Amino acid sequence: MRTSKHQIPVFLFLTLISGLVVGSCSPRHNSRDLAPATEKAPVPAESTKDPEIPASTVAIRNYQQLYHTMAAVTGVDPKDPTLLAYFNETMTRLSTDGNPEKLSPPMLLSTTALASLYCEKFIAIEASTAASQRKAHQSVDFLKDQSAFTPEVRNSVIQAYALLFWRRSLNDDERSALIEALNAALEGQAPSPAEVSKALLVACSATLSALEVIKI
Amino acid sequence: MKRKSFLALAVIALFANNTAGAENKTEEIRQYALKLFDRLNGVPLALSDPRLPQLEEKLRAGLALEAAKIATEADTFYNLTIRHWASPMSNREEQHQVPLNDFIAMVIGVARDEMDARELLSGDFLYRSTQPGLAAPSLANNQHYEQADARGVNLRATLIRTSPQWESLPEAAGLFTTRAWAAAHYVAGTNRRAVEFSFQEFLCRPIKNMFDLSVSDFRVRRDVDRAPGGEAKTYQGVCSGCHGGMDALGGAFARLDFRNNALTYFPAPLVAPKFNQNITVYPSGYTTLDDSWLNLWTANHNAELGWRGPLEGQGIKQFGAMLAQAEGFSDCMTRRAFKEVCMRSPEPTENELIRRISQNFESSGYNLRRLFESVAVSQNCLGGIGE
Repeated sequence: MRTSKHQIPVFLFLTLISGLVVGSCSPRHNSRDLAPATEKAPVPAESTKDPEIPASTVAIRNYQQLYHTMAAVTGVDPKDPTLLAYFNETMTRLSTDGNPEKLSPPMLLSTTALASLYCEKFIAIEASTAASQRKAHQSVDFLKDQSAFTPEVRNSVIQAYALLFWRRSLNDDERSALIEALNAALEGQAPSPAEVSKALLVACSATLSALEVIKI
Repeated sequence: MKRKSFLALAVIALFANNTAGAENKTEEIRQYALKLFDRLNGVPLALSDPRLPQLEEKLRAGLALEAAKIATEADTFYNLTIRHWASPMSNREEQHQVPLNDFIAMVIGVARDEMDARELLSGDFLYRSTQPGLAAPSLANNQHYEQADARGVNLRATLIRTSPQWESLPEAAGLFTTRAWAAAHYVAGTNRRAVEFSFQEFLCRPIKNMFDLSVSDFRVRRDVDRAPGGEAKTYQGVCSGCHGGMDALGGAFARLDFRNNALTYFPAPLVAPKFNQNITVYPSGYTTLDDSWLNLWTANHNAELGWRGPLEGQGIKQFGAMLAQAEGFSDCMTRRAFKEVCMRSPEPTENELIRRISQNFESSGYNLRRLFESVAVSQNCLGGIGE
């Protein structure tokens, strides 16, 4: 399986994926069992809503939904040959039916790898776009090294990722985890604009493969 | 003075409370709008998307169905959701991850064009993509659809309906005469699988649920052993419970086969040879001479399928029309839509809800798009401010 050159730190991955287990406990059915049950249960007179039934089941995106969600939030063309090739190669490891109980390590790894491919394309597109037209990197100067990648800029980028991919702001734990990931990616690296892009790839991939994107 | 201050404080507190309540309501509506779009399309709606305020406005006005209509206007509703919904019905293994085929394309097209979904089982049409450079649709291969898929073609935008379904096929019955269905159920065997999966896919009734020993076995064919293992009781107590009804309906598929990788039709007076094979097993059994069929699964628990219209006929088209006319068809489509959007199968206690949505589906002219919208806005699906 293809993986990103920059592995996402395990602690970061766990932080961003946490909550799925808690949020996924709604009982599910065998996908083939759609035959109507014959036993007649009493139905409330005024409403057909049953208080025992979870109003909204937590589920995860199926393989097609995940692929196109990543395309939709990044704006990267899903017809990109590199992305399609990787998707076709790994789709069997992704969810077919959205059942969170079938969530597995290979599924999560494939999701992260797919996210990193999307992020590679996304960051490259952003870097070649005028700052004011960018979706998430308005404050980043892609021609400068780490010295211009100030804490304020870092904070602004990860916040932009969250709004774009998760449609909400970061909480403190998420912010700390992502900042720490950015810092760790840059630590000990020689000053270079390329290193900034690599660090951005780590944060982008982690955000794009997080629970907030996977769940539906 | 003190009294005035107290009143002022009370007013401020009340105002603050109302403001907080209004903010909560606004946020609730926003979250519901986002979820409604997400579940119907499989992809999220951006906060900056101009459709978001439109959805919120409809929801604020208590028009959840109107909001759902905005959501199903997106290409992704057809290209992702309807496709995912149709895929497992198109193959024997009921897998979602299958190449695009004429079966799936037909369901997407019928949903997009808001056609009567009953036509899916009896219509004479095909959906193909207008994307240039694709191989022509063929009875002998799936290239047209696989090529469209490989190029990431927007199906909602490029599918067109053509009629007849196949120039070389004298009889058409929608999905039953798609190449995908033929490859799945007419290949080899005896075509009994086609009956089995017709009930499983379109009435949500696995064959074991149709089992009824009270059904006559006079149409059971000659290839069925009447005393398997030397035990006539086994046939009488087990086999005939399925074969009695299944073989009586099997005639509908008597002219169809899947040979040399292609859907094949045997024009009258011929029938597919597979219908009269292994005739020495029980020579007194039923001989298939034409494509007549008879529905014997209409009594006892099978009456629940709500049969309407003719229960016997000739050929696959009339058979498809009979299935589509049954209450069981609209019930099954509703259950499938519920599972797709709500991400769970309906509970037994939700039978009344399913019945109500199913009736609305029929009233809408069997409009699949309306069906998905109705399911999505039911409170049991997404909760919150649904209908």
